[in-house]
Amino acid sequence: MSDKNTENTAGAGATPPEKDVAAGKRETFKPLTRRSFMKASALGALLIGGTTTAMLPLRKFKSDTSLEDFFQQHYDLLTTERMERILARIEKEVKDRYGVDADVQDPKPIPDVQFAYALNISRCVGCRRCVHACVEENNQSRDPEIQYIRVLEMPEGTLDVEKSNHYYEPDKVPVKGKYYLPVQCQQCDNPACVKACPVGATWKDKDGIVVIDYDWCIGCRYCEAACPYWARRFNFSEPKIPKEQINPEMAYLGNRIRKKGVMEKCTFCLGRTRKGLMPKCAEACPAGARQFGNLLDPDSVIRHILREKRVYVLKEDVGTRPKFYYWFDK
Amino acid sequence: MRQSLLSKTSTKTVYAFKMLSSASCFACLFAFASFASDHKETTLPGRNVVDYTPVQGYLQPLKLRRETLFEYTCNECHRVFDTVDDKKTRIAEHVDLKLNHGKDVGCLSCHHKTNRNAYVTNDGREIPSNRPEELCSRCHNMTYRDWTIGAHGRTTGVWNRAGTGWRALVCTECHNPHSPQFPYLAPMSGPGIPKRPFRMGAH
Repeated sequence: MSDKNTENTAGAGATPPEKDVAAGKRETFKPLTRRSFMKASALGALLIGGTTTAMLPLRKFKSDTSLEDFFQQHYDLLTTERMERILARIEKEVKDRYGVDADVQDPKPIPDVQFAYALNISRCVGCRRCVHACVEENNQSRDPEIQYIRVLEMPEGTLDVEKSNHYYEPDKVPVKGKYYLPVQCQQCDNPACVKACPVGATWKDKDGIVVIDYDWCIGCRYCEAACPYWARRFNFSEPKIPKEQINPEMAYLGNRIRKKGVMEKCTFCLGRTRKGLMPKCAEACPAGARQFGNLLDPDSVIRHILREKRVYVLKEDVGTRPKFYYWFDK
Repeated sequence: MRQSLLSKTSTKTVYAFKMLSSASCFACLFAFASFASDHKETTLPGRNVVDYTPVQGYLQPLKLRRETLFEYTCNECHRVFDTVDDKKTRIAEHVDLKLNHGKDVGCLSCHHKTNRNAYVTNDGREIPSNRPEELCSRCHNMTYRDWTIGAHGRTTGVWNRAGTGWRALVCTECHNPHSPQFPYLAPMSGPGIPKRPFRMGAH
């Protein structure tokens, strides 16, 4: 009965339904009041602001590396036209970041050439002109300061680098009783740094220069630890170079401006030497202590020095076979 | 008779002119008196020592080093002034020169006695002033051999010594020939000293 009643009531309720529904609809559709508008707009603003803040690192990431950079292949696998696209991308990055019209090239090794360096330590006066010529040529970071060449001030009568000092600041050099031993990358024939690299970002090129692909380097600094000459430098922060001091002639494996978190080192100025020019340090030396040439050419100055002079290499016992020869003639 | 008279007057005028010119030239000099007492003869002091023939070998315009700052060739003065082969006697010029080059070296060890624009070889022949390496090679022959191949001194241009385009700087572009020791230089800035204690030379 009661069921019936309820049914009836339900049926009775169902009979006048349009009225109720219309009333319910009227209740849910509230007119736009000031309060509801403020609520909705505050929520919206919060949503948009929150999303933007959350995505900010992504925007930074996007400006830092392009898609092309992200999917770049190893240097050995790059085709010529792909390399051209990469060089154009680097030029654009330099333009965007530093406002300099750079000319980035990728000079290849010259066949039948093995580069070698000879440094006359009886002529070197320790004036550090080479250090700063190198910094200017190779677009090294000025702050924090990165220098490829370290000139060791050594007491006379020893070749032990443990007794050296490379923070010397006298008024005039050379100081009596000292001699000077500039150390930079020795471009070893058996490079320890190349063996240490876990990703193959550094290798010995056909002309004997040990190069680094800065786009491939992961910044683990294993090579820095492996090098017995402390020739490798790490970019702890984004390199800062004044715009007017940037050298616009850049090489892909050489002096193009590095990124934060990659290794760099002396490359015998391969952007210059692979075009036939002398390295910048050899040209800058006021004492004429630095000679550069081709080890395979029997008439070259390097071979003359190896034949005629007293030559030694640094840390011969570690077996790296450097192509950077020190000699003396006094 | 007339001929002799003419010649006599001409010699007289020449003599007077010579005296005048020498006087006007020396008047500006500090040591006129000493010179006048030394050279009372009718001939000018430089007349005997000047060689007007061009220097053997080719001669380019003189490229003198920056320190000397001469804009004229040596003969322009030394046609008048005799040369004393004594490194201590200097009157007005070359007093700033400090000769500190080996033992028993005087001016005429390197400079030619009669042709002042030239240097001199061991047997008295002339070396053009733009080829000082030939002069220096008289004593420094081992260094000269290294220099010819590029093992001594600065070189510019390309590293391939066999081809063209490289040049070795000549001796006087780096060395002061009167005091050839390499000058002391102020060193440029080195690596910044790290703040925390650091084992020097450990690498």
